Amino acid sequence: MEGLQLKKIANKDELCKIATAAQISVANDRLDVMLDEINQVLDFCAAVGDFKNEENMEFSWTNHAETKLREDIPVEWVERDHFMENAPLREGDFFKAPQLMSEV
Amino acid sequence: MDFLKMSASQLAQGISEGKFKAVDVVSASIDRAKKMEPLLNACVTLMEDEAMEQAKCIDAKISKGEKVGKLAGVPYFAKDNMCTKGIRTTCSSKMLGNWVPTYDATVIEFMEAAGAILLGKTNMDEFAMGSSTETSFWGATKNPRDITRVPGGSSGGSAVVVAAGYAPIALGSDTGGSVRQPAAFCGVHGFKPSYGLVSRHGIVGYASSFDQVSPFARSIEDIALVMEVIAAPDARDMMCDTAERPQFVHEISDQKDSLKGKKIALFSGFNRADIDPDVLSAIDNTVKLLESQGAIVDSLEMPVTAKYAVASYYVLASADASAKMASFDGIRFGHHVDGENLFEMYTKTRTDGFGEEVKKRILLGTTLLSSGYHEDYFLPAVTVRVKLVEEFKEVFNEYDAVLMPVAPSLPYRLGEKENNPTRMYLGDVFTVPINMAGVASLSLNVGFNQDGLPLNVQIVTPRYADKTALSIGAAIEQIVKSPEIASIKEVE
Repeated sequence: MEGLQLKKIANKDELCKIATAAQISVANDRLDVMLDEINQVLDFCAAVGDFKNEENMEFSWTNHAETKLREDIPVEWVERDHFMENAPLREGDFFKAPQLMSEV
Repeated sequence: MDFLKMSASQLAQGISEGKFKAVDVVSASIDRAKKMEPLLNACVTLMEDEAMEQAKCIDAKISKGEKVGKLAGVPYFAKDNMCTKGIRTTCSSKMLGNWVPTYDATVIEFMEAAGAILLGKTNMDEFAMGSSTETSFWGATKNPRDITRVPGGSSGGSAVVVAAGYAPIALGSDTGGSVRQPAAFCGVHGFKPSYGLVSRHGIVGYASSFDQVSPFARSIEDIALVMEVIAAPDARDMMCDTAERPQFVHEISDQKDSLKGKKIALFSGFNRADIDPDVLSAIDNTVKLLESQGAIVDSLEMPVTAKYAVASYYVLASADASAKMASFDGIRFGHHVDGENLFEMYTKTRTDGFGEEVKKRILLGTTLLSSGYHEDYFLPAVTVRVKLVEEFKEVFNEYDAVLMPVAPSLPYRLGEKENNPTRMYLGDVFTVPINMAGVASLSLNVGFNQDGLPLNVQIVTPRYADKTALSIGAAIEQIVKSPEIASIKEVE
């Protein structure tokens, strides 16, 4: 692309750090393909860099739709038990999850 | 009587007047779906028993002289990202393969209240991330106009059920063209309402600031009829700011001869060499038709839309999606894989539950929200959006509508673009600006080429000028005629 050179994912190690943040694991034999595809998309999205360059951009936020706030009044909804039926693991009225950290 | 060829409007009228029974209409639709599904794979779930029960209830009400809704007995399908109480809602993903919602989406509630009968849930790109309905966990859907081609996406299944005659109407969701492009690929009409007109409560969203529930039909009158049912206030979607239920059917029937004096901007900010010649012919012929009816058509470049919209959209939508998809963690609902600790469980669940395209977009979105990338990509993309909204407002100060293609190509072959993400994304170049600006847009079928492939054009109108888009569409439809059901030689 012409114009500004925008940041791209440098290597497989950086991709693995991003994957850890996203809590997704990329198999070793897929790392090269995924790195190439994401960098292709970043190249494709680099047109926004041209905009930044050409328009001497100052950051501004869109306000094309206003959030409608409603009064904070509790309403009856479906029963808690129905929601809990979809929990993969539960213990009584609680969702069950593994411990936060392994024992060392 | 061939119920499959009738419009929703004709079916509702016939059923409510007792000329024929809802059970016979639903039965014909189910038979059609069962016959076509082995070939087309448009449905994730077919609800035969539930639909027949509901049809019997409608018939019983009518025989007792009770009042019924404006879609009484009309069969329809909904994209599988719309929550349906007691019926699994998979988003065409392994992640939600067995998830059964405990409540209905608002639009499903509204359709039921109007007497419409839900026949099934339709196939889609996984979590709506795709433009061809090839990324579904349940396999690709095929285009009924040519089964070697994609139906478009992500609401491909909903477009197919209408084109193939399973039902006269269906619901999809449009984040960056996911209803308008499949409507164009399958040869039906698809309408993306203004952002805020229809509640998204109960829709498993992709990118909340872009998503909009959108109907498919084979006639503009049916689109208007569905819009009268689904466009209504709902406090459960905080972006839904419809004050009252708008009336569309009467408005469009009153304005069918109203092209005279309409000012139309023809979007010309693209290289004609990049566009399929048949798509260009459809646009050129529509311009001639509009001018012959007294409309004034001027070419406009719209530089922000032309140069920056699609890149900005993929930055913003991917960032939005990566945040939204964090809710799929294997704890409260959906797919779950055990792990030694919490983070291992999260990672195993998400790695096993998501398909490759979804993982790629989550990784891309996570990248774009990281330090360095945020400044380079995300902030400029947000600013592009502001400029693009302003550009549309300026155009609509002078013009009633913008005319543009829906997609640069006709429906392509299955597998043709699967491994080339940017080629696929470029196919959205004409649809994503509309979602970024929050305006209304109709994907209108204006005929078919020599090979029987559909030709649609896009009519874009200002936010909350949805009636104008449908009025212009209805006026054009009077001349070019509504599309017919696809005749599928492999099974007919």
